[in-house]
Amino acid sequence: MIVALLAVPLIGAVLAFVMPWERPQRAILVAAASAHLALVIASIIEPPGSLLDGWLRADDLGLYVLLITSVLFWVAAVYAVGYLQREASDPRSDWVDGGLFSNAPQGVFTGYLLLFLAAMTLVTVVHHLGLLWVGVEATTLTSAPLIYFHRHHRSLEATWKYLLVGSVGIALALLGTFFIAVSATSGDGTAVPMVLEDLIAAADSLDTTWLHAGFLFLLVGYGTKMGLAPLHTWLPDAHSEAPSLVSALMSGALLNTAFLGILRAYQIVGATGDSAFASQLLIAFGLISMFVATVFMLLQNDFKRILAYSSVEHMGIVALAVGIGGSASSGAMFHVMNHSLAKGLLFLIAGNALAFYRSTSVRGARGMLKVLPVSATLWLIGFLAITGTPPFGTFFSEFIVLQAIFESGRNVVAVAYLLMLALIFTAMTAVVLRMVQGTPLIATTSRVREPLSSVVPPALLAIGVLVSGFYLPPTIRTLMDNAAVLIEIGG
Amino acid sequence: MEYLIDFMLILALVLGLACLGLRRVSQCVWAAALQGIVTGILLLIVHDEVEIGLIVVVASSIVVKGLLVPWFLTRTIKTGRVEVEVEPYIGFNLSLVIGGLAFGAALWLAIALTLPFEIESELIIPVSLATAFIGLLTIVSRRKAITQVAGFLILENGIFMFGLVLVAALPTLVEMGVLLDLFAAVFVMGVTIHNINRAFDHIDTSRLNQLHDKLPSRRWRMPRNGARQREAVQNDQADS
Repeated sequence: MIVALLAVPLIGAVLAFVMPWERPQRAILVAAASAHLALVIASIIEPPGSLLDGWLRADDLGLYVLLITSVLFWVAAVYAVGYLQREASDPRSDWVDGGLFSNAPQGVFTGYLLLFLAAMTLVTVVHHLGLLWVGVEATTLTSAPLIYFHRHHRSLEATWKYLLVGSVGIALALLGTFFIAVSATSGDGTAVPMVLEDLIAAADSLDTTWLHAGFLFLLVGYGTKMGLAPLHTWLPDAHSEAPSLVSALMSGALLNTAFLGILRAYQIVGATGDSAFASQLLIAFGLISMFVATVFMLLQNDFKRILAYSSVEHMGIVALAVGIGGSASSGAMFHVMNHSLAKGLLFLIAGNALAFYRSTSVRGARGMLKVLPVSATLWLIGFLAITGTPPFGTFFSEFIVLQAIFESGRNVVAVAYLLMLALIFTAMTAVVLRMVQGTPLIATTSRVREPLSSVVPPALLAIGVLVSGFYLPPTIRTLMDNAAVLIEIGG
Repeated sequence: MEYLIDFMLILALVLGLACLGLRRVSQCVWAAALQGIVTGILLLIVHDEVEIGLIVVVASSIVVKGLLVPWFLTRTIKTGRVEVEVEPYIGFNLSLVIGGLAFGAALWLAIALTLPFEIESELIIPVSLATAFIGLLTIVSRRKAITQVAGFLILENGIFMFGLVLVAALPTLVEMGVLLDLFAAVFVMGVTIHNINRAFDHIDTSRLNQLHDKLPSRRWRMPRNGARQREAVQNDQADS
């Protein structure tokens, strides 16, 4: 089953690369995404056995992240069909500096999308820390060409920053992995295998100094990929220059998989019973990320960049919640899902707005309600969801986290958390309402036709994040709770 | 055997420092490549028994880091007609001094962090950490994208050398995966550099500065300018 999960996107990628016509390429993308989603659901119902001495294993935490990834990928794939149809392949004028640019061949784009899915799947099912590193690095390399889909200067600059910052971060994570391997080697030279379950079982015999150093490096390394401030510098550029469906995937899926890398290390540190150091690091990184995001969101004029900083904020919330522990852990798991749904929705709608207005500035994209009524409505819904307004799922997850912070007695942290959420709410309000209302700068008399493929996929995500506030299917609820138990430390 | 290991480690450190001091981009790339070969040979020496898997890792590491990557990068330098000068933010001499200080700090760190087991040479940890730091320094203190890739290679070499203390714990499959990823990373970076060079006519990363937060600081200043202008107008009127 695990092999099939990895093989489906890989085979799809190969087919997309060799397929010379564009229409079948899109069919392959949607077919592979659907098959992948079906396989993920099947493995949640009937958990697959482990492979390669436990190197590949689908535990509840991995499956939970994989489910979010797969759902979001499926939605993005359906959106991509319409998006790619409307993207002209011949050179056209760049709206910022007027130069000509063309797109990457669509087969290459769909192929890399599927490879990206395969890499993210690998991260979620791998339990060997070395192979986990290989998987996270593979997600960087397969997503870099996706950012450079529109072949112009700005996307190239974003790609370079992403590659360099991401690779350096991940190199540090490799050093962290080696440090953990040192802590797992005993005086007579025998070593505990670098498999998660073995390390947790042998937690008492691990050398704490090296383990803590290893956790720090893994946090910095994978944290770079996850977008924790101050290591987030690549993120706003990459998210604002990538095609919107890629931004949706990076924000909603890639960041979670990088976070999973940190959680794996946290599981090991937690098993030693001496996790205060790691928890405090997570809390500190979480608060710094929220603070940096708040500052940059308050002064933001670019609607794709504000979404990118919002991802920094939400990753901060999740890191903070995991560091707090106790019931905040389940809040963190719940929030991961809600954030992915809401952010996917927002980025897809941002793509619609960008396609019509040809501008990412808030000022240039006014009057959405007049010209793109459906997108404008979804944009409003997404905004309410991402800022944690009731009755959306995000409200409940952010509330659970707040409650847990108070319970842990960290009142200052709780006040800071609330204050930053409020400031971010005002920042987002300013951007979203200015875009939705007003008269468009572009002279159009009537509303434009909004194709179904551009509004139905985000609408599905909107329903998802709304429903998650009231009801979760029992299977998913169990999966989420079990995942939270795996990372729950202290409290 | 221990002398040989120490000699190779010092050689790797000197090659890293050399990259900080060399003035031509291609020389820096070759220093990083030679360092890659040295670390590959080190892996062979450190192991007591020679197995097929080990030979595959050593051979592919030497081929990838010592031949493929430098060949690919020098080809990018030639076809892109990249200017030969390194162009540092931090001068060559100062970089060398910082590199030397980093080795001192790494020596201190290696004494502070005791290993839970015996290793072949006391120098492995200080040299590997110092090399990783030199790699980071090269990345942040050099303008040219190619030099930054060379810095990335040095960083990876340093981490790879740290891996020498873990001969027991790391399976060959993982080492192969790490190596494959490294090569793929350098390859993707090389392709990106090629594209940057074609699109911008340079690979100076300090000039890759179009993307940033356009924060409204200028808008805040405007009223003050306006006030000053009004003042000037009023003064003019008063004068006349």
